[in-house]
Amino acid sequence: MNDKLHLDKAHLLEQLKQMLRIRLFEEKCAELYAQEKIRGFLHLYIGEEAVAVGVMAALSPEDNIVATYREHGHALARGLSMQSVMAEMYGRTNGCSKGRGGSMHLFDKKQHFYGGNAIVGGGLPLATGLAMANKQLKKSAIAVCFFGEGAVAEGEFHEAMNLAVLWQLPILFICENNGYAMGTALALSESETNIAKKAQSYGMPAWQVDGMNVVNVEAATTKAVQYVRSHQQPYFLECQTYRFRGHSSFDGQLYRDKAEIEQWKKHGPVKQLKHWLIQNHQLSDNDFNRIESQIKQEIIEAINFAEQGQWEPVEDLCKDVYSPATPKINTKAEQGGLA
Amino acid sequence: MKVQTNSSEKMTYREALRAGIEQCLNNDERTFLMGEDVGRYGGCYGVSKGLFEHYGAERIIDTPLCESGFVGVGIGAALGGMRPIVEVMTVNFSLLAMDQIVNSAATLRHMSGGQLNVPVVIRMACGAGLQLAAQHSHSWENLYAHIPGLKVLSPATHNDARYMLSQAIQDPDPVLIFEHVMLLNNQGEVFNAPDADMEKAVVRKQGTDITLITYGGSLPKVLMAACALEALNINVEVVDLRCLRPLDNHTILASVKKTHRAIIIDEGWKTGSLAGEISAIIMEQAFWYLDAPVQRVCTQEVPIPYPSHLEQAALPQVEQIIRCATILFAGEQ
Amino acid sequence: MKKSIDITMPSLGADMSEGMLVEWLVKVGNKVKHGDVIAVLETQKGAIDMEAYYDGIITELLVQPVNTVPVGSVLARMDIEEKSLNESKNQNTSTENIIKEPITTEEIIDEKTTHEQIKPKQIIDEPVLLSAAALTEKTLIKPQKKSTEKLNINIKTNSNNKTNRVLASPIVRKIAKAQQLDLSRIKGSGPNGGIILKDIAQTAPKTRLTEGEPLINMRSAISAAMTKSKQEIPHFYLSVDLPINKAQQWLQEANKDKTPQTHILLIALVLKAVAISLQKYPQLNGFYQQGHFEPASEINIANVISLRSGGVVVPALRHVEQLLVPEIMSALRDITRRSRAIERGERLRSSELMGATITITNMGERGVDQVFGIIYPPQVAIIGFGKVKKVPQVCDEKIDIGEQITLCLSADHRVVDGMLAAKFLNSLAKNLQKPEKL
Repeated sequence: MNDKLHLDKAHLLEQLKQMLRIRLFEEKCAELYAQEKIRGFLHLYIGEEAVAVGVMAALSPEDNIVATYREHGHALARGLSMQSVMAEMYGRTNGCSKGRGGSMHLFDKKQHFYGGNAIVGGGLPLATGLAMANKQLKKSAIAVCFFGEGAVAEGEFHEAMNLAVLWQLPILFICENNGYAMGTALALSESETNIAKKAQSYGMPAWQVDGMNVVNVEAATTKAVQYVRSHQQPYFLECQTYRFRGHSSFDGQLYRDKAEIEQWKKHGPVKQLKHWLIQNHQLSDNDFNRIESQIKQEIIEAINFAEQGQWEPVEDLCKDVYSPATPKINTKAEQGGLA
Repeated sequence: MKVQTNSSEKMTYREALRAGIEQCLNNDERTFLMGEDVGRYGGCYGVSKGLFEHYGAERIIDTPLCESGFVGVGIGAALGGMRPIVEVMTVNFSLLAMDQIVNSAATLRHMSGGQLNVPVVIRMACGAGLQLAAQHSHSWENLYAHIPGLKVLSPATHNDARYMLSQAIQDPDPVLIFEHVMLLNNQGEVFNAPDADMEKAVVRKQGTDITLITYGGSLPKVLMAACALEALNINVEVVDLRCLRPLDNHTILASVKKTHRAIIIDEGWKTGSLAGEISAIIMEQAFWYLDAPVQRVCTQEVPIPYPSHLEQAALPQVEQIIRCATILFAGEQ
Repeated sequence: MKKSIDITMPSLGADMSEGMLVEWLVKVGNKVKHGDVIAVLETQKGAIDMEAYYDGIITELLVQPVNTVPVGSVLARMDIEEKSLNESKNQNTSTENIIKEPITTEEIIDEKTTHEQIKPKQIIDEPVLLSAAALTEKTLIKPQKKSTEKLNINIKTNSNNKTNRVLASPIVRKIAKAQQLDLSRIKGSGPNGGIILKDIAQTAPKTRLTEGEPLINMRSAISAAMTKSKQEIPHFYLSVDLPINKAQQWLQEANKDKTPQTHILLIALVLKAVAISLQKYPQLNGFYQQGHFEPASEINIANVISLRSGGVVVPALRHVEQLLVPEIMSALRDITRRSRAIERGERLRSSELMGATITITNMGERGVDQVFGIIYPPQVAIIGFGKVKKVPQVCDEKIDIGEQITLCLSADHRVVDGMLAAKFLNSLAKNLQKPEKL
């Protein structure tokens, strides 16, 4: 355990709770999706919880966060209410994106949570731009960009790496390397599979982290964030992790061995921390069950919240395409009919 | 909007663009210009010449050759509170940045349920005529005008080149400005105020017999054709669209309802052109006023060739416009 | 406390509407825990394990492998503990609602054909017919014999109608509808013989002539004549910008002591000037008939007068060469008043409607600068004049602001050549510079 981190029982229990929250939420989403409550695509974060929870714990409220379509965990860990996230998955107006975005487009301006991006690699230049704004406007906030190792193949990854270092921008890149870009294993898509090494070659400090250990993740991130804030320069963390479910709901997982999944599950983040806490007498089975019940209750309330949410009226279809100052185009009055 | 006085200054289209950029930089310290070779080189077309020396490297930023990257950065910077002017050297390279333009800039407001807005301006040189061949001669205003969430401008006059940027930068949403390369060297008048609101079309010449609708680099050709047609006793009204998304339907339709005939001149390829969109609008909303089918004069269905005679044959020309108009008045075919 | 819940075929993807149950991994009576794999499903992407969401006991297996069922169908039932109830309450009721009737592809096609069947009345143009035929072939997945036949019948009906259909531009149709014009009686000069605006330039109000002939026939006849005119007469056009400062000054002087109702207007001066110039150039004043031109002995100038109903009448002022300017003005006033009051029972004389040797059309009031008219056969010329405009004029090397009108002459090239026409216009222009002599 890292010396820079103040590890106490309360904090570790909190981390466990955060990860469990995500775990149980995701599992419930899988069930809801099977019942067609949630539609479209569903990308579950199960197995990777330690990364989101560990990183978020080291950030400040003003920091800007850009994530991917697998961002439910990041949203919850950041502080978006479970209710607003669930309602968004349901497509109701009380969702965090007013129901317009769905699972892949969770946004919350107050939390500086800039999505929720469905284009692999698309968030990297965006986050780099947010960092540029912070620098120009002399804000203390940094930008944090989450992306999978699949994004490393995209041109935008390299362009963003280059620009971040060239222009000395205060940005923290978090690569969540879960080994598979949908169904393509890392070794089949990268000539150089050491991603941190790639980042280093652009001139920024880069480290590999055990993404299954939330304490390691938080420790590494704390160090990284300090660096970015004080040096106003980029930093790169490759968090090695694993997703226990398929890429999305409809994934036969023909590309990997069931045995491999089981192997990783043995070192799952929730399991690891729970085990450590129990072993070190910081947690009892009763405590754990209590935490679990509380979370399940929170989930039930979130579902009720979502179920009671409104469907946005069809008349408002073309809202929020442009900002209110400008006149709406393609209003009903302009469509059809003889002028 | 300030009222235009008659006093004017003569300058090139390029100089008008430059003056527009300077005004934006002077008015708002959050504004900066970024793009390839905009700084030390002075701009590929000389538009930003001298700005680097005056405003410095923080506000005139030379980017590496990474369109997707730096356009995305511009969008992110706008999200984060800046007012960037992103210059994509030409529209020809913009395809590399199209993901950021369409999937970030155009959609962020909507996807976030109205929480976010992207006040970025992206300027691009466009158009053909310099014998730069297939990959450097595109007119893709129609591709961008297709996308909800974007606004698309096409300044055809010097005054619009001067003022449209300032109007665009005050808009809370992403605005694309297309600057036709064949206009850059032209001399013209710049007044003290814009021609009209950013989203309005302007009638550049009043007439009664036929409406010629156009935008951008084609405007000078259309005005020439209008002159020639006057001598043939065809009294032409010329509508300069100025804003391609949203289209100023009101001005377009008022004109066509008056003249009963329309030709749309568009440097894009005819198939899937903006001219097709306008033709459909006229058909839908002014059908009962038409005395002849709406015509289109567009670029031929061919990537722009290198030799001058072929390039000119591909593009809309004054003679074509005249011929198209006279046929409409000729009667039986 | 136990409660029975449904185990349904899950949706595993955005485009999944049904799934295949391949194998049960449990039996009735088995105890299962949340997360246990209880069945194997086959989808397009391969085999997928189905998990139990709750702890409980399997009570019924309702569907046997191998079987394909729609998403949401109940596959089995299990009993679970009460405490899970709150969660399941909301979900179960809505799960039941999800179960839909299977939609077969045939039904979808039926919807499509009914939607795309075009009612006979709406098929007007050939192009539309072509696309209807294209619809039949290309867009229907399983072409229903019934609907194809229906479309064929439609096509047949319309090919019969084809010969009866009148081609006319939209604005012509609009005007025809408003004025109840019979388009089948008008010859079109547009593409494919279609009727365009200028073919109905004079439209017919429903009124009567002194002689008892219904005006509508006269109008139709003139319309027909107009179209014939444009088709047969080789028109050519000249125009001249005419400074009228002197004329305006003269008018101001002359009108000083007159009441507004007796004011002399510019048109009267123009009419007189035209008459005088025509005396010098008689080739523009007469009739072209049976292949040759006959100059007229009188100068009867017809004036195009627009009616409130939207039509025009073109009565002539006779012997203009013999009239003084004030007389011309009062004659013009009279004829205009009577023309405009036709709808209220006023009359025009047939001598006024026939016998014009040349026509003048004044669009100045409409704000138009220039107007090139169509010659009324058997005349050989028509003069148009536009609105008075203030323009910069060069006078003795200086620039001044003056007034001008644009005079446009349309002439029959078989009788008049450019040189002659130009001379006529020049003479006209000169005459108007000396209004006192008119």
